[in-house]
Amino acid sequence: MREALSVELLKLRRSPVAWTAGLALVILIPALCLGLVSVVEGSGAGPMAEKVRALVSGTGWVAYSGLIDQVATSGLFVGVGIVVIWCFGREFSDRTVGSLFALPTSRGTIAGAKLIVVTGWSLFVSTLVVLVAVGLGLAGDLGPLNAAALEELGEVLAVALLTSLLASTLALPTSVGRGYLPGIGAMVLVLVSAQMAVLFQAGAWYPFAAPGLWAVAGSQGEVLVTLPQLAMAPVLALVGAGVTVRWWQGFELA
Amino acid sequence: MMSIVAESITRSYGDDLAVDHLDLEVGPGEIHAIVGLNGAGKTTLMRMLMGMVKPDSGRALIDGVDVVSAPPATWTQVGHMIETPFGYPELTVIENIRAAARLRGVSAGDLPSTTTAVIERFELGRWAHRRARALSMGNRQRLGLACALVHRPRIVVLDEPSNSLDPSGVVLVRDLMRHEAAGGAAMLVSSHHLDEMARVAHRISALHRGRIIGAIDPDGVDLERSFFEMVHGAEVGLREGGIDA
Repeated sequence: MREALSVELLKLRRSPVAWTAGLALVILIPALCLGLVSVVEGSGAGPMAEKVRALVSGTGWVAYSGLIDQVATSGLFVGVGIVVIWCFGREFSDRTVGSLFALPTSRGTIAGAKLIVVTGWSLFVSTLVVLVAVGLGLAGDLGPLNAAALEELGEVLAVALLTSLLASTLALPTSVGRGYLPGIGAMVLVLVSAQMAVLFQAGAWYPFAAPGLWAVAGSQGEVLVTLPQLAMAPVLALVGAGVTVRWWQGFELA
Repeated sequence: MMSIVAESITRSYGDDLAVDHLDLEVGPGEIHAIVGLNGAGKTTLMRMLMGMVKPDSGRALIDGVDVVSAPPATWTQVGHMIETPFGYPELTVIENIRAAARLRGVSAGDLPSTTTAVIERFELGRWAHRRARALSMGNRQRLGLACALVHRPRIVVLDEPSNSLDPSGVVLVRDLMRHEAAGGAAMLVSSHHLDEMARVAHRISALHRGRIIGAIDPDGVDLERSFFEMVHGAEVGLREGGIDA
């Protein structure tokens, strides 16, 4: 495993896709949310301020972190998902997959190393998103960090980590479909189905919707998602990882 | 001593019989070339021997072990380049070679000396720190070969190794194959280029429609004529009801 981990880590470190997605997530999510909160708390007039106000509850840090919750749920799923899809799909699209056969390092081990590296990267990026958000918030004159704000930011971190774990499940459709497009198709399907699940009030039972629903409801003082429902997200990620490793161990070239 | 064996190996893709009950053996110290037209079954045969594709029937054996259940120790002795050469575009030449070496079981301690040796061997020093995406086709082929052979395998399977190489690269690969075989490696090589294969191979088998249709003497004259006569004979035999190998 150590050999496969060192190779996959090198590939990720050299990947323009991972760098672009990471920087975009870490900078854009907090900056965008701080900008929107400033619009609401500024003059407060105009159609944009009205639209943003509908998304935001509370003021200052609470409004800011609540908004990050909402943006991070889909933003991280897309950003991390793109890196997961690249990590697995590139072996098929770049036709490098043939070189991963007939090695003492098994393909299952290589897939496991990919999942570990990309999950580690996504958890690191998620943590950075929160840290940058705190830094920008302090610089953005949102006032002192109080207990409520810290609780909100803890929620942001939890949602970011859960969303990142869920994005790793995109490795399976990308692998089985042998390329980027099936992975992207699955990502779109997940995003649409999560919206539908929330719309039909089944979001709490749908692992891809539950973390976002929990965060949004929590920031508005409601409890819509229980802990067991929330725990389905890491369980699904684990099951997805197991099935992906097993598929890589046994597949043959088309 | 390591060997490659195919025992009545068969593989179909739908109605297309890509490899048809084929028997083949490559012994230690031997360069066995297979030549054939496009679609003859060369790549499918090599893929089955490397466990990339499972045979419908028959067995592929490396060192007497069925490739379907071969342990890591068996694969440590194997180097291959089939179709696309190993090479991640975002990595430099030296990084690609190190990655290939690690996946092939070279220890972290041996990595620097192994990498340096193979870069010198394939004359890649000038491009060592260049990313693979910026290499010419010929140098990508050299990189792929370097990655396949970085761990000095005893079993070597190469599909069209001289593809895209300039004349000096062709000579380099030819010398390298001779050197590895002299050291005891069993080498299976495919090519469209009969003359090139005749310069290095100990045995040449002609493959057509998934079957070995005859052997070509590497020291013979007018090899292309011999090859096409075999192909023509096989087609006539097929039209009359079956190929006689």
